[in-house]
Amino acid sequence: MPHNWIPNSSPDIKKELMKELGISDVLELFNDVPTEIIFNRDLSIGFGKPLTEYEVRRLFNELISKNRLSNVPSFIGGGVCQHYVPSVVKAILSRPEFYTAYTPYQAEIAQGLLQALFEYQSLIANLYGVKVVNASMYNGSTASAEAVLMAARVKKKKKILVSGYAHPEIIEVMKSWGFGAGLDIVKVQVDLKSGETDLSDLRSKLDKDTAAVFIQTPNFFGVVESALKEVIEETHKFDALSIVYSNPLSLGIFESPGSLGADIVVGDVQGLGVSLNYGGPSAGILGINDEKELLRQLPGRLIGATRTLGSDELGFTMILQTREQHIKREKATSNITTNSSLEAVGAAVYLTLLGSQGLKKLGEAILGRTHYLVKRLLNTSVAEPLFPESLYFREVSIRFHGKKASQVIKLLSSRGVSIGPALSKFYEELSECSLACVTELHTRKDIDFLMTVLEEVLEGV
Amino acid sequence: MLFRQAKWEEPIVFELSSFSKQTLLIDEEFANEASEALKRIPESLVRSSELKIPNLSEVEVVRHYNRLSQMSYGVDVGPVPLGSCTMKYNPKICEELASDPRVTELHPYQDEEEAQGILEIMYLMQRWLSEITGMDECSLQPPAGAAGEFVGALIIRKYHHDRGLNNKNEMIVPEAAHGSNPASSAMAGFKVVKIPTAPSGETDIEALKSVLSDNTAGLMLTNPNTLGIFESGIVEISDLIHEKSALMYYDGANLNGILGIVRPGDMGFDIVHLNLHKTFAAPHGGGGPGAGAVCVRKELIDYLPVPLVGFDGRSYKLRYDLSRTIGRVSWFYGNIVPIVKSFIYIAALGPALREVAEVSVLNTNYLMSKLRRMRGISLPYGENRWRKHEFVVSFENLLKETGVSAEDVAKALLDRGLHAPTIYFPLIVKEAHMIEVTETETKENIDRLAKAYEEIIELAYRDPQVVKSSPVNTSVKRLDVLVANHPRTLAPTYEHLRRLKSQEV
Amino acid sequence: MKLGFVVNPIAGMGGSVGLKGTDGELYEEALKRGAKPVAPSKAVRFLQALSEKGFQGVIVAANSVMGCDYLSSSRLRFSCLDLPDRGKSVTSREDTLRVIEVFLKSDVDLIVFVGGDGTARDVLSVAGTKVPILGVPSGVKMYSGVFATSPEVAAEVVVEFERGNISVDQVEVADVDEIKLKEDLLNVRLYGYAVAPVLEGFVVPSKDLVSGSEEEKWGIAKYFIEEYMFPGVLYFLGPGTTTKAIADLLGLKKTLLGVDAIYERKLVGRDLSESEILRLIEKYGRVSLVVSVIGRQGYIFGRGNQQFSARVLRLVKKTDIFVLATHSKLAGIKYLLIDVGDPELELELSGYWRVITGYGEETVKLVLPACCVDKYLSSGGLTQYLKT
Repeated sequence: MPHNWIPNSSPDIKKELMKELGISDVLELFNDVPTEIIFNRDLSIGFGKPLTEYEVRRLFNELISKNRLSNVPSFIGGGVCQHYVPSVVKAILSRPEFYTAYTPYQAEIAQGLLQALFEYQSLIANLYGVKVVNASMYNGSTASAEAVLMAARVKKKKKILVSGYAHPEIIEVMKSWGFGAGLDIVKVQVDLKSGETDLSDLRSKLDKDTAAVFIQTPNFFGVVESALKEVIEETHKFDALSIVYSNPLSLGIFESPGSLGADIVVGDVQGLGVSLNYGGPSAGILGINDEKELLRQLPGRLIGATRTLGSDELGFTMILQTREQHIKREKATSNITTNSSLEAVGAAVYLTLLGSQGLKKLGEAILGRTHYLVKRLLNTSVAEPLFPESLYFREVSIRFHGKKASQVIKLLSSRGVSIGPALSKFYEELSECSLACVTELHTRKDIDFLMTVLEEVLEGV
Repeated sequence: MLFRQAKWEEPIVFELSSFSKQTLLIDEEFANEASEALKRIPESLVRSSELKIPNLSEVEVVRHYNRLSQMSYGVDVGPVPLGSCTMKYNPKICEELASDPRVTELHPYQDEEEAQGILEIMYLMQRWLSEITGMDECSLQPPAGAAGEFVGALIIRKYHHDRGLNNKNEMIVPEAAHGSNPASSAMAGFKVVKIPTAPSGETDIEALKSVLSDNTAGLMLTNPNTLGIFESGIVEISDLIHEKSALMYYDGANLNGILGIVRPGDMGFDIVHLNLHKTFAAPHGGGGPGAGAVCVRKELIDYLPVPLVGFDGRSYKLRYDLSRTIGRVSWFYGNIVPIVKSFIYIAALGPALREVAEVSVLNTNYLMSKLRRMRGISLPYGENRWRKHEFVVSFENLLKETGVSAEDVAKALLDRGLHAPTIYFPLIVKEAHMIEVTETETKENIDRLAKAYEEIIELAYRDPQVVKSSPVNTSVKRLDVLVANHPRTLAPTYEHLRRLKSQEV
Repeated sequence: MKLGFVVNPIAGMGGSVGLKGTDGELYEEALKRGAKPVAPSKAVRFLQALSEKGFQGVIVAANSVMGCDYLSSSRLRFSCLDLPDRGKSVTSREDTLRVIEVFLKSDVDLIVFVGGDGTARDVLSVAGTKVPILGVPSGVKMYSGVFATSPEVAAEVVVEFERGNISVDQVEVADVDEIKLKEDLLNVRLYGYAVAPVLEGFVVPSKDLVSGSEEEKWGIAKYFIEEYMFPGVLYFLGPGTTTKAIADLLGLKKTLLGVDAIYERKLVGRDLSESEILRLIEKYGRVSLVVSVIGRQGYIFGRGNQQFSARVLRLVKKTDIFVLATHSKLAGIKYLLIDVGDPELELELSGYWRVITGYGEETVKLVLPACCVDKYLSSGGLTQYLKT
């Protein structure tokens, strides 16, 4: 079945190739496959026949139009939110030398890609205040799992304390990934008044068996962990590593976790040049502070600067590869091979486009909107911020008075407003609560519209 | 063919200087609220450490990264015959459609009713991949192949555990397997037992028999294996494993050579992982993102990661009702964009997918036939066997006779505008080149590759030093990997590099 | 860097005339049979490669045919000792020993010798583990792990060592027992452990620098103790650094070259002879043997651990014998060999064995009688071979 995606599928060329091999039928090349397992019907896939490009396009359009996007930018939160991806980022990432390249195993022919990834590592290291950042993990959840595994390896201990308001799916992922290593993941309680990690509970659970304390800020409920510095200091008293997950878009205005003493930093670049993509792909951030203790245990690919042999020209190559599975195999720090290089390059492009001033302004734009939403929620009778006194960034946890959040979300959706997720999805007891997210995409009019619709829907019961 | 790669002396981004001190325009609609809220940030949390990102105008950023792109090489520029990586050309229609905002702007927590399009695509992919592998259900959650392997290993672990067989703690892996196999097994808590490859290039079945016991949990195998040779004893191997109540795990990174011709399920495998970005054409993005899938037999569906996509006859739903699920290996539902690209690829080819396997295998053997005749090259293992999607040759003789290594030959290929194959893998072949041209290379390019090898070998015998000093046509000449890795000169960030430079002065 | 350089000019002369070495009177025999020196050309190749690769340091060389003769035309910086006396046409073992003593006194950073196993033994006997040593291969016998694979590779190792790019590791020095050799019995003995620069992984494209072998040994030892050490069993640990790591982890002082016995995590016998081993087996009943792979040829019995004789092996169940080896050791070894002078027993012990190669990791290897590897290879499979 000749096809123009398969150049040598035309019968004439096939014949020529077969002549070289002295065969008359391609199937002779499969004469070592036992006949009883040969598949002897057509695969029942696709739509029965090869499709033309215009047929595929039409078919895809019919399918994808069943997805419905709201007119107002989405207010859905939960670890990832709708942000603006500048045209520059899209233009650079559609350079085929970048997006159709493989992992830069042959460094000399991939200098540009390597330099871009080196810049990503350097920019993110500066942003998070750490010494070394790897060239990316799959996403924030797997970066977190790798972080706790690394801590357990380094400290040779199994107990991991995790803040109770870290992203619930991150905690689930940590549990799956920590299964083989026998990690004991213990949740630290949250102060129900502030929505922050409970320091006294943390102190009571920290002991000499603790390998690490994992904390997310702003946490899953949108609350900024104001005692972050104390959490890190407490952790260090017990020879445990401090792992901090933070949102890169907040770090133009908030102090970097590394400068506050975090040993390992994690995050996700979604929003930093990466679209929502229905949850993936994105790229996970993983960085470390103490090179001596942690560098050889850092999982994932790492790019380093070097010089050419014989001359002193600057160049880049992958480094410390024996940590990686394709050489060290079962003793590798992780099984990761493919990562999220392209998204990492996208994040580097966006950071460069923003500059230090732009990143600060973007952080303020998001903080201002969050503050506005919180104020509006404090001034309505139908709902309130779940933690009225606390400082939120980007996401706000909301309690609707007297109404199930899942219902409210459906009603808002019918009015063209997307909000969520309902917190009952993760915490049964919070059936009246939901998250909402505001980003640079939302105008004052958008947020006012959200409030108006919310009041109409809730009052109209 | 003449090849000269671009060479810009492009500064590292921190050294780009601009008098304009521009920044991307950000609105100030909420400036008042922002300044109020800034005051509420506890003092210890206010940023005081310096942000060293340069402030540049748009054109400066665009030129910087475009110049860097010109100093890179992708499959849209020329062949990338990396064995085991399946670097095929990826049709543009897949790229364009997958960048539709109705895909990219969709939130993972969007109400399912509003995501019916994407859910239907995922559902169809679960069906199609099941058909292709001969399995009953697939999960699309693993963000890459290695994560898929890990899911497979966890399923094996939990399956035995649920049947009270906690003694099953040994995973058998061939010596020539992908490095991620033992790594994934170890992550799932297994002891790894490696078995050798017989001179035929197939798994040494006697060695396999010698390690089978009640402790055997499973066998991880790729078929065709990393030498490109089909394991003709696969049915016997499956029977041996199943007799021990152990499970057969298929590493589907190498599926390209058997699509539509023979299915892992029919070979006796119980669990299959696929790298969608390899076989089903999503570009590799310079190292990622990819997308994985894990497919299983009926008895194991309950163990898959949640959620799956289900269909109740009316609408598509995220299903969380798997009673024995191993949990999540990643948040949300997988790497959706590459999944969409793969969907379009399979939809467009339909039954012609089989042609992919036929032509990729034909291409492989055609090139192998040309190469094996060359001086200095040998074809270890299975001398009289056809290969499938890839083959492995050794330059051991060339090294002995001329001092030119497999790495030198690889660098010399770069000079001829060709990407090098995978080198020094699998570890059981010395001075290895593992070559995979896929079905998307033209005869002309395959001949060019063969010609390039011929030239390089001829040169190696005539003037080895010239080969050893390649590459010279790439952006930079051969890099010093020792300096790159040495603890004293290690520079994973610009800050390290700056410090090293200041020490030199 | 200061490099000590010494050449055993007669090393390797026996090979071409069918002798297994040039130690002692074999040298006279070699001359009689018309042997030509081979070491000088190896020395020249090494020095030339050293110069090409940009060696920066200074060389301290033995006099005349033992070193300086080959340096005079090179561009390398060097100084000559007045040892041995110029004009001495036939050099001896004593000359080598004295040269090494002077090297030690002049604080060289590395000793490079051109020679074979005999020379390695001589160098080791003086240098011990005080200074790393590296052999440029020129002997007839080269069972020791101190040799680079060629003069050029040796030069590469030296240059990388100078740059601080590679680390050192303990490696075996072994040699054939000459007395037995005369009776036509190949009996490789382990003489000791030298410190040598190890360019491990240099063929791997990453060329990463830190040698994992030390870490690997600890992993193997830890795994063995957790998984396979049981109360009520007497463990005989054979010679070698990998088996010694087990004792180290248990806090016990094991001999490096001998067979020691451990019971209930206590040392109950050191440097045991065959008869002592037999006595302990009788006394304790339940015993296990723990051996590592010796030499580059892959021996598990019959080289360096002759105490584990056929008589001993007949008393131990095959399943109670454990083989340990690091990846680097196993790399390039296709089969493991047994040579205990009892063909029937050797055949019984042949087959697929699990070798412990890391924490939670075992690799299956084929074990064959050393005598008959070729016979196996041509018969097309072990099962066939065992049947015949």
